[in-house]
Amino acid sequence: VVLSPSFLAKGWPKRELNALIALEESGHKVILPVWHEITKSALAEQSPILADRLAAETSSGISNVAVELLTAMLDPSSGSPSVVAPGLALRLNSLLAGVHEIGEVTAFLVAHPDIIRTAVGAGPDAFILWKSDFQSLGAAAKLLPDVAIGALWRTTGRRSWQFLIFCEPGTQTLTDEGEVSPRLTGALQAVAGWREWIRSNRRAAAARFTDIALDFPCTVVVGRRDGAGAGQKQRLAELIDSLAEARIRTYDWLVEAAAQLDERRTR
Amino acid sequence: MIDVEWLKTIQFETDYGHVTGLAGLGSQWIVFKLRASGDNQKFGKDIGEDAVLKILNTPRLGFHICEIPPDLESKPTYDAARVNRKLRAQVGNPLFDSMVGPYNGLYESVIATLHRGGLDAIRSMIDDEDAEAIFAFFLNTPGVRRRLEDAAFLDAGGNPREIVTWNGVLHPIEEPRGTVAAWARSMLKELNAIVAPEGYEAAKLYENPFWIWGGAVLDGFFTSEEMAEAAQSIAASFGNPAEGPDGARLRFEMFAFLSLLSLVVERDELRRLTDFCNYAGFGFSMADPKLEEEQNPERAAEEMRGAKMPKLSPPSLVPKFPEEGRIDPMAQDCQLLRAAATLFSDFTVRLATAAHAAGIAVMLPRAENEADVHWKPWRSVVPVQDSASTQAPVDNEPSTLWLTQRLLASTQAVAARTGVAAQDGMAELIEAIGYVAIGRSYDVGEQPKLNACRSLGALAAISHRRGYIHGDLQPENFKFKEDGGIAGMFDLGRTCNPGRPLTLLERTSDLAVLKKHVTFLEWEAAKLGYRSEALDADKVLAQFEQE
Repeated sequence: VVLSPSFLAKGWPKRELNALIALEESGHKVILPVWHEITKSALAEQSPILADRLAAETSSGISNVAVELLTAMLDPSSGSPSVVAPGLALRLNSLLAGVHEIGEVTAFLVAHPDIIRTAVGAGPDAFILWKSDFQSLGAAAKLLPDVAIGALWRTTGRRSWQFLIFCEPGTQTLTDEGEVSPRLTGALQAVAGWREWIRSNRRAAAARFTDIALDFPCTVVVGRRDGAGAGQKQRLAELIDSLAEARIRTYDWLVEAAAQLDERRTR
Repeated sequence: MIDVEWLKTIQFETDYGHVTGLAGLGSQWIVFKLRASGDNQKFGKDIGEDAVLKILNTPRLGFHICEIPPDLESKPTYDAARVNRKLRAQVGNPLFDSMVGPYNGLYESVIATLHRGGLDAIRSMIDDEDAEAIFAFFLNTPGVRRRLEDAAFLDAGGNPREIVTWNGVLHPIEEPRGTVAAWARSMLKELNAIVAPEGYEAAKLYENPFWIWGGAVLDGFFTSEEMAEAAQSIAASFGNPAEGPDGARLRFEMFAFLSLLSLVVERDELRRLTDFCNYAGFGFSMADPKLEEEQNPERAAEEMRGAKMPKLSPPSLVPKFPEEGRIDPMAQDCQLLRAAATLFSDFTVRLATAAHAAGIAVMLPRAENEADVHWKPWRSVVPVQDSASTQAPVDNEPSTLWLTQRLLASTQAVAARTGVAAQDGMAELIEAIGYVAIGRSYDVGEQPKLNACRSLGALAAISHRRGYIHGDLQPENFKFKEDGGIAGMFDLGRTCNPGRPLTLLERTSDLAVLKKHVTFLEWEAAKLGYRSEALDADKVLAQFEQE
């Protein structure tokens, strides 16, 4: 509830507020007060109860207000919907923050394939195939990226493919010296290896990935955005520019796709 | 590889207004959200703020290297030094030919020529030894082989009888997978006999920095001053390659491409590329048609000697049938086509007359208004010669008849304005055209085909009466049950508001900018999570089934 002079000047917002206060009497915290251009004394004149509540203040900056609201909403004891039934984005974000094994992340993505569909812009009829689906490729299965997405273009009747490779969530993209990290180097080599396999095994590849053409996109998912300083971001941008056959995305890309799904479901 | 994530975020000013992001990416179109300028003179009227800008989804180098192509912006914002840096990373990229519109267009054009007339058609374009060497070199480049290999394996993972469209949006080839693959495999064998000119290894083309930078020039990057800087940038990175031991090879490769590109790009574009090559010291010149027309041809030859590019003739292709290259067996039934064309003609004349009387301008579709890429056999009825004789002249401008949302919407608008019920005949018309279209399917029996046609016609009639316009009636947008009933429907365009006459934008689907009725993209846009303005297609279908 944004408490401002305008809020207090009108009758109906106060009635709404009283209804919310009544709701809180059942034990659930539902009011997160935000003070906007109002002092404690001015508020105390109208509502002593609210004036005593801990509140965020817009005078401290909108980003601080956002942080305080998030802290309150994500407090395990808050009983907020975000805690009781967290959305995909929150769950994926928590998972990424707490795990070091890629298997836990991929298991989550296998269970929620729409995250990948949304991230790559593929429709519900797009194939999502995981590495484990391709044991029949034999030795080549080792070269296979983690996931293949085959989207159908109805106007041409053909599928187009793209592939993703996941690095461990904690993997650095660049070393402290600004060099490409060994793990990312390995992933980029894997992209090159996969392209070479497709190039050399066109029939076998087309049998498993119908209509695959050599210009398929391949994306390496690695690291988090907030893990890099300004210098590293600049270096990373240059690295991305220098890559002709692969893209690099952070896991935030998938978290944002999950947030889009959450938003759609809420709507 | 187009970076879709980047496309979603870009914002730029165009002559039409401010682009605020990506609205949808289809196999044929890229559509941007556009906040149109209020006083936009491009359209002669205010189109409102909420619009989209659509461009053909042909390769644009800018979209691959995350730079807005200069011709899209009212004032280009690229940074030449940054573009130079990005281009350095592309040297050696074996897919570069598919990232540049004119290069890709050249490859697709040659593939289309090969498909239509084989190597004989290519030979018919060659007037001299230079041209012969150029084609031998080009046909050996990996870009040709890669495209043919893509086609050669189309039957590896799909039903060989399923019809697919391939070879891009400008030179589409539409055939069953098995037919495409068999042709491509035989063509690959034939190409093995073509030997590249001695000393020129075609695969090295991708290492030619001038060819890479030339792609950027063709995509509109670099002013004259920046071209000079770009040439210096190449020299700084690659040690002035034009003067080095590979100079002859690089020169020949650029010469070959300049010659071949004359088949697919405008003279002005070619001149820019020639200018760029000359900054690198190649000394090419383009033939000047005016000079050639002068009375002293020897002098003209003198002027043009040395690096003059050979003239290439258009390929000689003998048309077998107006529908050549299209798999449309039913279209060869002259009686069926004539009947459908008559039906269409009667209908449109009645519609135009009624519209005129009601004071509504109806823009009926005309063949010359429609770009080739729009052409779909299942949307049109083309009258053909009675005689199957190859002597019969082929009409270069057949009176292509179109069935589009314009026709449906116009009918409804006339009915609304006059208060008289919509004309009869639409359902029959659609049925006739649908029959031609569904006849394309080899795997469906005759009775289900007829049932499907009836279902389509009835559905269109009922939907239309209820104020729904499908917008893109074609069999691909319907899922049929085995008995020909309709099981599913895609791409339901929008609802028709019969209370008002149609706006210019609604009637003209081919404008670069149109209101947010991107019917052709609805389905693909939905994949990206964009909401359509259309009603729920399933609900319309349920109503249809109830009736």
